[in-house]
Amino acid sequence: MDKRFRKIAIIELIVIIIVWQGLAYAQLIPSYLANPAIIGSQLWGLLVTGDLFMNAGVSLYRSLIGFFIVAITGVAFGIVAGYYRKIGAFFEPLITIVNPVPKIALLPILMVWFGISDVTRILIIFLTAFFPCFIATRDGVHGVNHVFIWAGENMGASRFQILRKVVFPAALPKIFDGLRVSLGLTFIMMFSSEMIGSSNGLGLGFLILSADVAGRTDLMFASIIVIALLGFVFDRILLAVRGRLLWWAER
Amino acid sequence: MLKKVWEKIVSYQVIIWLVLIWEIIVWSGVMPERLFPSLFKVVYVSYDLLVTGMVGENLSVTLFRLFAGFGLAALVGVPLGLMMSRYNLLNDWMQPMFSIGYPIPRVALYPIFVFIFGIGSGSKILVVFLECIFPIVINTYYGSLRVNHLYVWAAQNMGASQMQLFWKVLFPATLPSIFTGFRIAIPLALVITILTEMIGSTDGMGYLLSYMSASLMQEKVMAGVILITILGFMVTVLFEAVHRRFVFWK
Repeated sequence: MDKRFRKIAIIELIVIIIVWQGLAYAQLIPSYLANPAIIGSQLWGLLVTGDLFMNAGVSLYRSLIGFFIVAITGVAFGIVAGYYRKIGAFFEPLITIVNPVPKIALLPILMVWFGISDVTRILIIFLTAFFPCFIATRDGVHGVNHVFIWAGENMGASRFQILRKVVFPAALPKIFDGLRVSLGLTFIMMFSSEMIGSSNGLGLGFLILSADVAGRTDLMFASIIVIALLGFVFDRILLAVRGRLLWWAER
Repeated sequence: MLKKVWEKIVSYQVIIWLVLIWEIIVWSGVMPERLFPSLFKVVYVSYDLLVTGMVGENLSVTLFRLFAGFGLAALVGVPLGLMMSRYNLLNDWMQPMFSIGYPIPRVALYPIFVFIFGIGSGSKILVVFLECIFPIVINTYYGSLRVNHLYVWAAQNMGASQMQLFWKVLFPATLPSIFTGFRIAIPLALVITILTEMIGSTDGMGYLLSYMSASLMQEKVMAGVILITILGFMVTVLFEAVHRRFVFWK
């Protein structure tokens, strides 16, 4: 996003907030929906008491652990399945069958096996986010220009050297595309696994759930804003890392 | 013939191994049978669910939400993406919203929508719509930008009017990208429909799933997952058929 778009975005956000506040002030939207001023003060309250950091920290801990496991296993398995065609072909049917399953439907099954615990939540995050990462990596490895590999072979590189020095860097842009999709799914699943396994504990999903039960839309909006911010910030971080590592790839 | 069957079996062997391992675990009794039912039993139960009509009603509700949300997103998203690529002013206004909104988990708004639109289909369709419109708009926009200039020049050379240029050249050339957006959006729509139904609902497959899980009927839950998977598979097949019908040249 260039500077001009950033400016427009900020202006649009401010306009939305002002219009919202104005509508609330003129009582044109129902009063049970909080207005930005109340949400802001609620957010400030959460910040001051430290509740925000507690809940966001626990949620982030789950989603980031899930994401790192996905990033490591997804990329590793993807490269193996893409580079060693026989192994890829062996697991192919499993991928085609499991990939289209809406993984959230597995949550009740996992809950019975592992209880309503962090293991279940991290596992469901892992199951959801693994496949985009794996498939993007595998396709990225498949799509590496054969000329590069032949050139490497010609200059006497071993199979492992080709993998490390040619195939992996050439597949990196695709891998990052997959990781970005996975990261987005991670945050969706973080929220939903906390919403569905209704129990008390810490986490932004629980915060929303308890606010929902109490009918506190201001608290709900505040937590949603925090979730949105986290999703946005981590996407930017991933893009920054990508920019650093892939300075040679055109966007 | 026999050789072909054998080759098929070999290429699908991982499934057979997994089923075998699963059944061995069931048979050896490491896990209690209530929690870890035999797969054959699960298949039988899912057939049973289908026949007794417990599924039919909920399935149609889920399908309605799925297609309503996705259809709305397609109806709004495709024209919007096309227009954004043609009119700079619109693009300047919409593009920042789409790049900010893209990484945000928009499902998080669901509880608020329940507050506003009630627990029925409206809130769910709106969330599905919000999740689907992003990939559709972004893919349509970039696809339309990348239409080969040679095609446009050729059409202009042969004296095509603006309308003809759009309907005969630009739109068909963008169609593959539009379908790429749809391909991302459809599984997402299914996931979000099931998800919102599991969070809070009184009908639909997701509700059925969380209801059965709350009554600790593990084999029925698994049967539900199998039925949802078949549903997803059928929607994908339908999509591919439509895709082939409209993008027949690829």
